[in-house]
Amino acid sequence: MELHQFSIKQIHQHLLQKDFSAHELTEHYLGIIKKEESKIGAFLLVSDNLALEQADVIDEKINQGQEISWLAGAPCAIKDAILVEGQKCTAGSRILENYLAPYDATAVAKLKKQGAIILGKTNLDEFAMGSSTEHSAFQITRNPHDLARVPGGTSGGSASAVAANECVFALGSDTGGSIRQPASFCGVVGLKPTYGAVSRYGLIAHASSLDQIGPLAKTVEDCQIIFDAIKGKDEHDATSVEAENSSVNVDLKNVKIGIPKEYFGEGLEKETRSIIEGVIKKAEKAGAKIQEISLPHSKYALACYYLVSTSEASANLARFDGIKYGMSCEANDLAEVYLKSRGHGFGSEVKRRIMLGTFALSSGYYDAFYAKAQKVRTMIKQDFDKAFEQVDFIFTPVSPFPAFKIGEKIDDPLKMYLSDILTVPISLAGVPALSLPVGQDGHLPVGLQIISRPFNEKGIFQISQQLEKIL
Amino acid sequence: MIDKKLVENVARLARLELSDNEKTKIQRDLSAILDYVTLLNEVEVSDVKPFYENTALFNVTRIDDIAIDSELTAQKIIEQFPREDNSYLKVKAIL
Repeated sequence: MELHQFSIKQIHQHLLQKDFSAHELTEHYLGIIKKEESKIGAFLLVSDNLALEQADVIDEKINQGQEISWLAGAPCAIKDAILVEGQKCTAGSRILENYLAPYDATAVAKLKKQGAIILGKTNLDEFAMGSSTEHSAFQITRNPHDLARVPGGTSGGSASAVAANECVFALGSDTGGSIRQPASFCGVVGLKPTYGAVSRYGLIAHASSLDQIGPLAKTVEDCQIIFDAIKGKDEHDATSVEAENSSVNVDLKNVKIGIPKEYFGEGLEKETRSIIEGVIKKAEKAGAKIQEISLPHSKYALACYYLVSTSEASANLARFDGIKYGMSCEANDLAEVYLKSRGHGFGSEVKRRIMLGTFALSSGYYDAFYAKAQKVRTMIKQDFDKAFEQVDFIFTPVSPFPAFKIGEKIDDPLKMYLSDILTVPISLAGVPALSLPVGQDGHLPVGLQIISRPFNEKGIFQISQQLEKIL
Repeated sequence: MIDKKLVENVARLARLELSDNEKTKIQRDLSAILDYVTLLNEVEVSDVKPFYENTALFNVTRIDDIAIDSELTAQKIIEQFPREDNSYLKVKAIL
């Protein structure tokens, strides 16, 4: 077996048995990055020296016989919207091209504490706005399964880095599908945790009522180890909570799985549908009770999402003003500093969303757009509450289609937004969902979206692991 | 619904300098997106409360104290200032 085929637990075992060192493992991954990056373009920054220094610390601990955590020595990548102290954090934007993170995000601090090795920072759509990673100000990232296609977005760098064996796992962030959709396109496992399960401290904000940090990895088991390491209440994020961990074990044999008819309608590609239906049949064969359900407000979710998220983004991105940090243009007066720095620093998609959000919040339009969307959001949340009175899990496709071609949707924002149609309702409701690779349409991976009640990540992991075995 | 004047007004509110080309494009894109979101008019919401928070938390407070490493962090933040004078953030005169 090659070094990059080992899971987190296997790495842990081999490090303890001294079959290889953390230094050797890190060098192996840096070698893959060196070889693959000209094709893939997943990384915006590779920090070789820092990674090897971290690895040496772990090797020293092992040599001294000290105890090490599960993640110790596991090489990972971090989406470039999440701060790693002392490293550049660009959010994929020119406006932060030279910004140095002054502190670690809480999720990063927790990974470091466990001894995970940080290999570098991964590409994303600018400020995590997009569905293909093509809106990065710096480079295109390619899908390892087909280099002419996008990896999905916005955590496209993280997903393709995992899929191309450039790291064991990666952190991403998900606002409307930005972990799940690239995980589905690249054939890896990705979890969007319940809103509040993981601290957002140190994540450059896009839409604060929706953003969550989560793991992307090759297996469900790896995802669970990472999630357990980064979750929990954090005094730096007032919306984070310490979730109770249910001790009940779930078994595919006696769970009820809801299939929402609205997710299998128009626009869903035939092959994607048949793959997802195939998995549902297998789950049924394994003993699960399958029940058709309805989430009646699903068709309004995308419109709701693009008003709520852009409104929040327009407020969050007001901090990039050319005054405190980031790009600052020379100008004659203060107002011109704002106008020019923001005009030059932001790319087209970010400007479009700031404009939409500012419009939706502006006097005279607020009630018709933002307030209306927030009310519809309540109804979408209630749909899920009602559904989970009847069923334990909901199965849907992650995306109506597999990875699309680079350039295919870039000039039509609405067409690009439609890629998120099956993931945004879950974000609006704040419930957890995992993307599990369950098949291939030709050579392109297809992901199943497994949704459950708030803070039932453990249940999702258990069901997913059982599915992994029967697929 | 969206004319050029409205685009210019929103851009001013958002403090975004836009070229003429960008204004035309944004006018076209916003019109298409707003056409799409009128879908929400179908939903009857008169008795529905707007969504606020997902985690049912209320008034989360903390003690207003200084973290131990704040001086170091402060130095790092000062280093990010585009224009600095003796640890002060330098800005253009407002008046």
